Amino acid sequence: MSLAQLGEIDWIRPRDLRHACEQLARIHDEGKKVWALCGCTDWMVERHIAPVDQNPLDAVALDISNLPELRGIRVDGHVMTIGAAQPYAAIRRDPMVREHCPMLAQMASEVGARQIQSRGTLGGNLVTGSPAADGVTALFALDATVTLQGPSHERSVPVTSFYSGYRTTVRRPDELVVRVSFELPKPGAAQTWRKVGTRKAQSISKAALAAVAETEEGVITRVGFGAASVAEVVLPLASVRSLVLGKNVHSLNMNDVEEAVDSEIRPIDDVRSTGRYRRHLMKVLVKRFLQALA
Amino acid sequence: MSADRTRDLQVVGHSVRKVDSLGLACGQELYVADYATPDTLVGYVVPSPYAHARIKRIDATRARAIAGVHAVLTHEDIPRIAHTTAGQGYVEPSPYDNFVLDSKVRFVGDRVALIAAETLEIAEEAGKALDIEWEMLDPIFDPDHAMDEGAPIIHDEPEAHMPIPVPYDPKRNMAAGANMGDGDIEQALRTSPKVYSRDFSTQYAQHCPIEPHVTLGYLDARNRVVLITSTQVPFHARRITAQAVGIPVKRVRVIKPRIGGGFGAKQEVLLEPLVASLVLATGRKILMQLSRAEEFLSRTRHAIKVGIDGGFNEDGTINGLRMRVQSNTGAYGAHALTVMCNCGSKVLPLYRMKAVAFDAKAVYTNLPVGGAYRGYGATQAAFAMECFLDEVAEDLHLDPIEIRRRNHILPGEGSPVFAALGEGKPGVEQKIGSSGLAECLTLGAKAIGWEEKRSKPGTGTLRRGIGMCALMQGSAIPEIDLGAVHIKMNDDGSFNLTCGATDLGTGSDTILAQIAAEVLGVDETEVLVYSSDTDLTPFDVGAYASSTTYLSGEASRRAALAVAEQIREIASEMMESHPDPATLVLKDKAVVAPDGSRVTLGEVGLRSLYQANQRQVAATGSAISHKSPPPFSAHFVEVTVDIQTGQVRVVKYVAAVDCGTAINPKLAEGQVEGSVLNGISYALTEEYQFDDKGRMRNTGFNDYKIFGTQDTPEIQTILVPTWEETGPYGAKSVSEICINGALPAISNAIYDAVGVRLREGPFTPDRVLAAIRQKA
Repeated sequence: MSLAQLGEIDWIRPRDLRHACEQLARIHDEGKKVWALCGCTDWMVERHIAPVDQNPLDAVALDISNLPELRGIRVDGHVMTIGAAQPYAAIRRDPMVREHCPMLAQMASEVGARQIQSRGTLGGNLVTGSPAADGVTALFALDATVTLQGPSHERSVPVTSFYSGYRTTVRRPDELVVRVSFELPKPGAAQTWRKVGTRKAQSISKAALAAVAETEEGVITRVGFGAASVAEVVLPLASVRSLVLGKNVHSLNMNDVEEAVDSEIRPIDDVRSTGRYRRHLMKVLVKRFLQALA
Repeated sequence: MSADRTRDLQVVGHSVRKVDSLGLACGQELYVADYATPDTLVGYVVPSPYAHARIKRIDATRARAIAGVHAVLTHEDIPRIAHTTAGQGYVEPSPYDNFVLDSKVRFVGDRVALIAAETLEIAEEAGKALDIEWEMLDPIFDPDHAMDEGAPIIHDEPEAHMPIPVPYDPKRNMAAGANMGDGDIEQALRTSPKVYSRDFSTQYAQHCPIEPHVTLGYLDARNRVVLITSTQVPFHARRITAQAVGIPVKRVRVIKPRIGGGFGAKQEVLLEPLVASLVLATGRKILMQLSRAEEFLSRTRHAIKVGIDGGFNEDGTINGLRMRVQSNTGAYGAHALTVMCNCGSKVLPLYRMKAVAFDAKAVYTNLPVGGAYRGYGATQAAFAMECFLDEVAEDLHLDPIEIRRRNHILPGEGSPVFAALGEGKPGVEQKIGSSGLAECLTLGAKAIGWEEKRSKPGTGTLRRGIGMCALMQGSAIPEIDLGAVHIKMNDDGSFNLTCGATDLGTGSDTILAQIAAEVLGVDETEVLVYSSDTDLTPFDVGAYASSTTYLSGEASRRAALAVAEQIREIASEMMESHPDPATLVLKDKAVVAPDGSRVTLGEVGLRSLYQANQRQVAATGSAISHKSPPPFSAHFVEVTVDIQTGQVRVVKYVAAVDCGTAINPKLAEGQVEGSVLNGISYALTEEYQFDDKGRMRNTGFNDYKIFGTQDTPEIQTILVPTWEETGPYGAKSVSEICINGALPAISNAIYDAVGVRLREGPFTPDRVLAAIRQKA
């Protein structure tokens, strides 16, 4: 399918979330494929590079970019909630995000390029499910919760359980991702976003690490990681987390940390980098973060 | 010296606005595809899926039957005429190993058939509907083994030949060979107190012009083939198209409108013969434009391995150097010989030596085709030479700047390499007229903080390093390249300047107008430029070999001088005292006599066309050159290297450049900054990746990244003015030289930071880290 054929696709723009869910259920019941579209920053690229036969013209596009329920950033108590359709540019500029979660703001200023940041969203990043997804990686480190809306239900899933495999998620076909939420890191918490790419913008990572840690009197009381481009899905580095949680920052054994990273990641050789380099890089990034805690 | 001679210039040496800038900014200037009309058909090349195969049988019956298909051409449908796609002077110093279509494919992406159809989708469908019986042939991808006994022969067709007498041996996959020497190199290496040998290699890369190759063709009312095309070489495109499709030159007209960059890629006559073939087959207007993926497989930078053996004295002076070159030209030999020869001719003369040897060959492989790319061999060899000298300097405990000062060529000196290495024949002996290299070294070192910052890498994770290199290039190809400019006067005292020179965004239309305006005593806005139309403008070889400012600029100056002489004669007729025309001065849009009497150019123009003793004031100026005066440059770079991740970041880049007189300093700086960033991107990220079938894996900007504005470090350009006697208003070239510096300067800076030598590009984090870990 060429981009010129986009005009031939049926295009539905629902009024609100309820209408969107009804349409989603209806189209699904009719047995058609649905594209729920918001910023389209992945979708357009996929249409451009995918072979013709992977682009059925009988699919229907559901434009969810203007649903008010999917917008906004708010803080309730210690919990921040971000609408699934809130573009990165708004996240990057948001004073609350910048104050409480600079790592997320940093991610939002490095993902894609300025143009993509104006269109791209966390919801799209989650559902596309690339193992290199910058937004997803940051949400992993924050232990975020993903909320899905179905025709007659709402449910929440930890982001670390959202993926069932390479580019596949537990989202059901009649569900929309509507928002993400996470407990804000405490003031003074260590946060890092480190993306290693070919150049500064429009560059998918060779590997990237998001990390958050809180300490009380030297003891790690909260820690979360997101590791991109080192497996078929974004990884939470659970073994590293269990290794260091509750430990004193001065007593961390970096050999053990390296081993834990090693045991968990499954990087491959591809056009952007080699598995060997990625393995090394992820160990360096994790160790740097933990060493900086001390 | 230079300042004295440029002080009184009114237009030259001033950063006037580009003549086409407002139109470009407002979207009013036209590019090739803008000339398409609704009845235009799409021209399409069916690409080869195989790296090496023979078409045993090809049947286009099904493809031709598809609705919307207007023509399907296979090798059976068109004349088989061996030619080269290299847009060079006649006779081209490149092998005739190319056919519009052939019964054999030699790399993935090679041409299988040509299709004209209503839409691209229909054309692609027709391509898939071709019935082809293939005979698979063994491919050869490794240039190190391309000339082995028993290697698959890529050009086994009887027609392949070299049109000039130089070594060419297609049966051994050798696309070109060259050897030269002066003095006894063996003795120099044997008897020198210090002898070194190092090997370096550079990678495939693409020019990535913002506008890929695109050509529009149609038959005009007199049945001539008109090609509106994105080319650097309109006159070569006319000649080679006529040759390749078998029609007379007079039946072809080539027009270059505004074009979106070339960088050498469009010194190749690639699409014009294909479009002409489809135009002749259909009688219809045809637009053929490459996709970005196809552009990557059009022409590339030759991946070249350069080895250097050098004999030195303890004080760092050079006794002798031998350069060994192996160039991978891919499936066809376009520019194979000349790029390879430029490895020597644009690098070796930079330094004085008693003995020199150059031993080079270019080999065919079943990979994408090399071609002209800004720097043109100097990029690849300067990497080797300038890193090599850095290593020698370190071993001899010499400052890298000092070893260059002790060896670099000075004004008044020549080099045996100039006479020995030319464009496929001996070169032209020359002595250096102007050189600001010594000052470039001084000013560049100061700007980067050489004394303060060098050899202080620090101790943290991020290590700082400073590196440098010295460079030369040329200005035009001596005794080969011709530039011509025609100027005529209008009745308001303005001028039309027509030239074959080819502005590819470089600003040459502006430069030529400035030079003529300076002679004629008017602002450059009084000189209306029309360029690059083979029917309407005089000949020019085109935009390559850093020639336009130097050569076409001189043609502009000569044409303007001749026109000025005619104007003085008419002005003298008009003045009551009839002064000697030689005493009249053109300035401020007027002609002024020593006694103060004055006529305006408008009055001269009106009289010459309407009033008395009427004649057209006009003249043509031609210029060839008997030397190729090198611009010189010294580059300095500060980098940080992350010793844990291998990431290299360029913090600051200083390019001190002697381009003679900068006709338009702002445009000269633009050329420097653009080529520096181009070079940094090549040094740090750009490379082709292939799978085991010879398919390029990263044929798009998704996977092949080039640096953009956000990646641009602080770049400081220092123009060091000199006066080149043979150039217009003292000018030399500036467009290519500065792409050559990033590879060596950054490699040397990495060494200063972390103590590892990178002798293979690009310096990706993976590669740098591997080197660091290998050392540890």
